[in-house]
Amino acid sequence: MRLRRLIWATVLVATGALAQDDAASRFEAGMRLHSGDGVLQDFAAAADHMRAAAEQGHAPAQNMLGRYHFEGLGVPQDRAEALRWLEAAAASGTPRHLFDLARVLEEDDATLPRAAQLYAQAAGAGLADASVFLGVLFQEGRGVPQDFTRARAIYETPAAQGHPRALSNLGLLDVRAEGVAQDYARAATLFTAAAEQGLPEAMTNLGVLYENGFGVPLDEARATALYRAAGQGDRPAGPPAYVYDPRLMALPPETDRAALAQAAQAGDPVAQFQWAWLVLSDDPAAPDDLTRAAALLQRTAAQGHGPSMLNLGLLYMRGIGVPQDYVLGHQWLLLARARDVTGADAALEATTPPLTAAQINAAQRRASEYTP
Amino acid sequence: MGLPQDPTLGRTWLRAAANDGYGEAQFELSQRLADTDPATAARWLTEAASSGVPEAQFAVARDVQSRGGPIADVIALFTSAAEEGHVPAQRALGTLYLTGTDGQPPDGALAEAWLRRAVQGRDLVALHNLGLAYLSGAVVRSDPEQAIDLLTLASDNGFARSTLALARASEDGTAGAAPDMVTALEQYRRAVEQGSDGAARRLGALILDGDAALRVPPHDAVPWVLARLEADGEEARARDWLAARAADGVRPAQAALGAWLLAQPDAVAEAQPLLRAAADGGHVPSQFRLGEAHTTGVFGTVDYIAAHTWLNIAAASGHVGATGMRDTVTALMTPDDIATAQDAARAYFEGARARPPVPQATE
Repeated sequence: MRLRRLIWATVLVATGALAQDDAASRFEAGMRLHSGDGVLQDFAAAADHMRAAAEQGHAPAQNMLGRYHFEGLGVPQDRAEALRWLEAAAASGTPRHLFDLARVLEEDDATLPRAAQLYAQAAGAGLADASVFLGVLFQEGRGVPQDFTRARAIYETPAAQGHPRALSNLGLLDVRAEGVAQDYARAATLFTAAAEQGLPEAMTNLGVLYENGFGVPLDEARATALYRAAGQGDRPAGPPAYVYDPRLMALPPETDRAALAQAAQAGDPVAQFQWAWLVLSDDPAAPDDLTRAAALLQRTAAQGHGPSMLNLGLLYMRGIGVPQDYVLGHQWLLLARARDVTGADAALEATTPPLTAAQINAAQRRASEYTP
Repeated sequence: MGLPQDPTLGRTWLRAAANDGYGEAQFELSQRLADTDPATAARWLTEAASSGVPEAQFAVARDVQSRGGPIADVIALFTSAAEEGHVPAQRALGTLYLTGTDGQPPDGALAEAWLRRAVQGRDLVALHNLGLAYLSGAVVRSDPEQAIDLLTLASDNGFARSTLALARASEDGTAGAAPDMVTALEQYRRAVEQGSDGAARRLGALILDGDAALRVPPHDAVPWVLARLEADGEEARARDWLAARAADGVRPAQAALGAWLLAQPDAVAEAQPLLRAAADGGHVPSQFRLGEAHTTGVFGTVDYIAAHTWLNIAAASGHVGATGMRDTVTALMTPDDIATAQDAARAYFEGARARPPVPQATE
C-alpha cells in the first residue's frame, strides 16, 4: 500500500485533464477498498484515496470522506472535518449529498433549520428518503413550525411509491389523529404495506392494532407473531451458516469421525477443516468438541484457508469455542470475503451492525496485517 | 401366557387369592395399593406378614420399630423373616442385638450369629457392623485382627464408612499396634474419595491442628479444611487457614474461600478480591462466579462490562452455563460497552498465552 501511494505521488502531473482522471480513478480505487470488492475492505486506505480525490474537488469523494469523519471509520471521528467535506460535496447539488449533510446538521438545534431546507431541496430533486426526513421535522415541529397537514402532504409522494417509512409515518398520523380524523382502518392498511417490506416499527405498530382490535379484527396470536418478527429485525435468511469447502469432496454420512480426528491430530489440514465442519454441523455439538474445532480452524485459517476463515469468524461473532470477540470475528470474515468465499458477504452483512467504528477499524487493521 | 394382559382382571384374581390366604398375593396387593390406598395396603401387608412372607414381616417390623411399638413384636417378626433367609432382616436383628434397645439388652452371641448370617449374604452394612463390634469388643469378644479383615473387605467393596473406621483405627493404634499416621492418612483420603464427609472433616481438623507429619500439599488440603469451614464450631480457624493460603497464592484456597464468602450474608466485599485472584489465575468456576455476581449487583453495583468480560472468558474456557448468561448480558449492553468488555477478554487471553497453563480443579 505504501508503495502504491508512492507511485501515485510520482504520476501526479499538473494538467487539468489528468487531474480529473486522477480524481476519478482515485475515487474508484477508494470505492473498491470501501466495499471490499475483490480486495480486503480497508476504510483507512480508502480514506487516503478519497482525500486525494476530494482535494481535487471530486464531490462523491468529498461526501465519502465527510461520512468517514462523521462515523470515525478509517479516520479519526471529527465533526468539524466531516462538515467541511460534506459541505463541499453538497455544493455540487447532488440530492444524496444534500441529504447526507442534512443528516449531520439535524443533530444540532442551531443548524436544524438549514437541515430542513436541505431536505426540502433534496426532496424537490426527487430523493424519497429526504421527503421522509423532512416530513418527520414537520410532524415533530423541529427546525420548522409543527404542521401535520404539511407532513402528511410530504409523505404522500414517497408513500405512493411504496417507501416503507413514509407508509408507516402516515399510518401513525392516522392513529394519533394528527392533521386528520382518526382512522385505524387506513392506518392498518398503511402499516401492513410497510410491514410487508420488513420495517420493524411498522410490525410493532400493526401488532398493537391487532392486539386491541383497532381497525382490524382482534387477533392476539397475530399480534404476538408481529412483535416477535419486529424484535428479530428483517433477517429473512436466518443466521449466517457455516460453510464447507466446495473444492473438497462432500463428506458421506458414514464418515469415520475417529479416523478423521486422528488425521487432524496428525496435522492434516484437510482433515482438520473437515472434522471441525462436522462438529459445527452437530446439533447440539459437545462443548469440548466446539473448543477443539475452533482451535483447529485457528490453524487452518492462519494458513490462509478461506472457508476456515469464514467459519472461525462466525465462531468469534457468536462466542462459540472462542471468546465472543467482534474485532477478531470481523477480521476473519473480511479476510474470507477478500478470498471470494461464498457466503462471506452475507455473513458480514448480518453480523456487522453491532460493531462500533473503533471495532471495525481495529478489525480492518488486523486483517491488513495478516499474512498466511 | 396365552391370555391377553388385563390389569383389572389381574387385580381381581390377586384379590381372590389374597382373600384365600395366599401370602404372596397379599404382599403383592399391598405393594400395588401402597400409593393409591395406603390404609388397605397396610392391612394386606399385616396379613402377608401373618401368612409368613419374609419381606412383609421385615417391613412390618421396621414400621413397628420406628413407631416405638412393643420390642417383642419387632424381634419376633425380624426373627421369623431372618430364619427364612431374609438378609436385611438378619442384618437388622443382628444390629438390634448388638446395640440393644429399650426392653432388649445387648446380646453378643445373638448379635454375632445374625450378623454372620447377613455377611454370608454379602451384606456390606452387616460386614461393617460386625467389624466395629470386634474392634470395640464391648458386646462381642474383642478381636482386632478379625475386625480389620472385615472392615478391609467392606472398604475394598467401596464402603466409605468402613474405610473411615480403618483410618481411625490406624490413627489411634488398635490393640497391640502402634498409631500409624501415614497409613491413616492414606485411608482417610481413600474414604474421602469414596464420599465420606466425616473423613474430610477429620483431615481438615488434622490440618488445622498443624500436624506436620501429614506433609500434604496445601492444594490437596483445601477441600478438607472447607469441610471444616462448613461444619459447626470450627469456622474461624478454618477461615484463617484458607485466608493464609489464599494470601500465599494457593489458587484452590482463593477459589474455595471466595465462593464460601460470596454465599455469606456480610462477606461479599472480602469475597471479591479472592475470586478475582482465582479468576485472574485461570480458575474457570471462579471466573463464572465473578461474572454472575457482577450481573446481579452482589458487589454493590451491576457492572455489565465486568460481567461480560468474565462470563466471556469462562464461556471460552468451556464453562457451559456462562455462554447463555453472557449472551443475555450482551443483549442488555451498548455497543461501546460490549467493545470494552471484549477488549478486556482479548487482553486476558493474550496475557494468558504468556503464562503456563494451570490445572483445573473439577467442581
